[in-house]
Amino acid sequence: MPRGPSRVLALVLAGLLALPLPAHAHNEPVHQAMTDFAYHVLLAGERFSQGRSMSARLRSALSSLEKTNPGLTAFFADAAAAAPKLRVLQSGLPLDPTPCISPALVALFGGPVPDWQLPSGTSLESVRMRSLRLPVTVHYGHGPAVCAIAETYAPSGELKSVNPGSLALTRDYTGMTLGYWAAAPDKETQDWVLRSTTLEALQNPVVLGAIGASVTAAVSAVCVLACGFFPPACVACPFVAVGAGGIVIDEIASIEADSLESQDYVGFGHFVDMKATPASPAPFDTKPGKFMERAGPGGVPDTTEDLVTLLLDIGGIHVNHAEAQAPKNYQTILGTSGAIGSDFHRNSTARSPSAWESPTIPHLQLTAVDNLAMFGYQEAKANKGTPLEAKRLGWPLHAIGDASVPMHAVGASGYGHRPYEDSVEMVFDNLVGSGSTAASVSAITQVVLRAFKWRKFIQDWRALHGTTEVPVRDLVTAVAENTRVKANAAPAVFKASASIVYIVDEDGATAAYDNPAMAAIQRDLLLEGIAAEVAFLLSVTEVAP
Amino acid sequence: MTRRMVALTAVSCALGAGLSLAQTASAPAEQPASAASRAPTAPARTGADACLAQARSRAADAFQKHRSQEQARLQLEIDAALCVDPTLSPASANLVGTVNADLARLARDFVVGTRSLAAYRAGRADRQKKLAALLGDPAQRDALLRGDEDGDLVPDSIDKCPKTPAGAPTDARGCPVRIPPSATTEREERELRATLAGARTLFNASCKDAPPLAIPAPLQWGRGQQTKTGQTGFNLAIAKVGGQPPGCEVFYEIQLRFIDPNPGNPALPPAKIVTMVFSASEDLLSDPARVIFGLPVGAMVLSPARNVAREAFLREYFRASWRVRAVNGANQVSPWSPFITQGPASAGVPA
Repeated sequence: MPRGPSRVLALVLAGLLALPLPAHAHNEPVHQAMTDFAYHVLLAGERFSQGRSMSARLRSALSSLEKTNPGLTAFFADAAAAAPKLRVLQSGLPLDPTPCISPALVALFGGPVPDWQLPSGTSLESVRMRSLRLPVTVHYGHGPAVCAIAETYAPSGELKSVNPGSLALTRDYTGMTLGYWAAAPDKETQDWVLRSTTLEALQNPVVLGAIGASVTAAVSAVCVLACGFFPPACVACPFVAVGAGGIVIDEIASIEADSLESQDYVGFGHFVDMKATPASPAPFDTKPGKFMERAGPGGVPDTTEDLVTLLLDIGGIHVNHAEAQAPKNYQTILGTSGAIGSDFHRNSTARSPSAWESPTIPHLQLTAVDNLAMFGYQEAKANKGTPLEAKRLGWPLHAIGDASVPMHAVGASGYGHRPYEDSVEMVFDNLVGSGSTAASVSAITQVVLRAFKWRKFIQDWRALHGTTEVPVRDLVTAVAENTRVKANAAPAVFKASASIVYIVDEDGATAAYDNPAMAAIQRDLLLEGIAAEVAFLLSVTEVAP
Repeated sequence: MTRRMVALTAVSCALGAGLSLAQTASAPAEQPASAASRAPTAPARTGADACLAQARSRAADAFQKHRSQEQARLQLEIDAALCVDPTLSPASANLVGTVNADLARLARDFVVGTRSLAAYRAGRADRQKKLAALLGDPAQRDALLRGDEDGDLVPDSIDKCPKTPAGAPTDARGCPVRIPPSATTEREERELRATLAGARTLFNASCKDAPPLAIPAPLQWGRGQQTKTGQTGFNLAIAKVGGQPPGCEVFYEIQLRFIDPNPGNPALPPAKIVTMVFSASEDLLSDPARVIFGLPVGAMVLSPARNVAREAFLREYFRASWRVRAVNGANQVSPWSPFITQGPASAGVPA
């Protein structure tokens, strides 16, 4: 059968949808699932410490661990003290009236609108997490959608036994709600508001026509890519005609050149580059965030980074300092610029607005994710007892999650970033052993042991500095350094071609991680990240407001 | 075009009072001008955005009146540097603007194929290195403003090779440096160009004012009749995404993760993942609430992804996790639906 226009368009579109958008390599469901798992490990500790029911296999495994690690007794007791404090956090959830179309949910609610059964005079935002009746997905509260209630939710593997129940009845959804907030930084579109030097000039119709008439086939190709990949870069291609169907649009006129914001750019601030920092150019931070010029495990950008760089340079894309929140929030000076901060971590060197705005994005060192974590931590403390507290706790949780991904720890948008993260999302349940009792218990005990190690990291820091704070920046950078070291020991995890392949063959690129060796490193790093989240959640409940 | 000419356009900019770049385009290149008079001047600063808008407008006028795009871009970048930081010295604004314009030109040259990847990378690194050095060297910055005929960021006063090709990296004396051939870079260039050549996107003017797309929910899959085509095969039912303007077709991207019914069976991979896209026009149903897309069995030729999915269904992966998202011609993409895990509908999914 000959291919009709629709079929061809669909194939064409498959290319668009597979574009890597490396600046925003979001894996929000993984962030949520990591935090939910971490909370359940605390629950397991709580129940174990209090002698409450759980599966025999899990109890036996925790008992064995405790015998060989006597310090775990205190760890479990601390978990027992921490979990209730997390359960009484206010949810912070917005009330999303989006109707549900699932027959099961409609039956449950008695209608299409989610029924939270809030106590009289209580808002969903302020209700305690322990009183939440439903688990939400990362889509909840974000625009018109099918109602984002996670109707098939259940805790992972053996962790079901520490949080038994069923939807909307008896389960504790604190983990899912904290996870919702751990994923939320990926939606902070105000973090990086950008502007295009060139865009408005080229919006002039005469200019558009002139350029449109003169573009070569090669330019057309990159324009087409650029527009889908990074909308401001449509500047290079005012008129795009896709042969099949002859569909043409002038997209540029609708773009506001001075205030470009998109979820595509949010991830710019979600890196911390742990490899050795060269003397020149002078770093903004001892461990800077993303810097495209030296992205990657060896500081040599791959072709994906080249692609992003050339698109951003052609578009003349800069930070709009007046509107972007990241340079203000995540510069994070706790004391003097460039000096040791009040958290005993060296501060960033503060930059002027023009220093932020003058270079195009690829030639600018962006903020580091440990600073994003510290911002959230400080805000959570400042808003203790309010709905904002839980939301801001999501920032450090998100940062820990990102720090457990090799590409985030070497500042790489390429080198297999998206394929790696997609792969983890696809096989998350397998990595944490959800499908088998033995595998699940193994994952849980590994997380416990590693969380104990991260807990000791925090306790040692507290003892050294005589404080009950959480060393958020030290913790995130230590997790990232652990990630980098382990990734360097398994260098195949950095796949220079995978990200560029991903643009045209998402599944093929992701399949490069579909083998036992890659699954082993993914599992190792994922469990490490979850463990660090356990230690953070446990410790943050001990911080005085 | 030489940097001297750009400086002269900057003079006209400095004269201000509505004198556009285009109006001064015919200024003789040889006309001498003092360093001070070459200084680009920031337009009235009613905020950086307004300043930039004025600068862009002047650049557009200039381009419209047959100045080269490159020339207009350079002037725009210099003006933009001042809009961002009105306290910049003329020499610093000239430097920052020139580097940004050079980076854009290097990128464009690579895209159109007149510069290799190796040359692009070398040129990029050269500009960044010189920018860092010149920002710390006011005397050289001023010298650069007085003259840099070949635009290599080495002032004419010390440039031993004044005819360096545009964008070529140089040493400190201004002489081009050799870019060593590299098999790796050549391979990467082939890879990158193939990607650029193969990528396409889709725009549809009817979608211009489209509201945000709802998330389409996967409902059920199973064998069934495909009445519109007279085939039988596997059908996938999805909650319909509506609310789009007339003519703005919705596309559904479906991601399927097939789960091995017999774990450990060496004949089948433990999981198979496939992504397909269907357009609303391929809907086998005329129903306001649902769309049904079909994978016909039999000899019909399908796209590679659809063929993989059909084969997987046929090879008895009896369970599949799947999710869906929607996209339209305004480059809007909905979030993915949650994955749902299902076996085939017991009564089939006829359309």
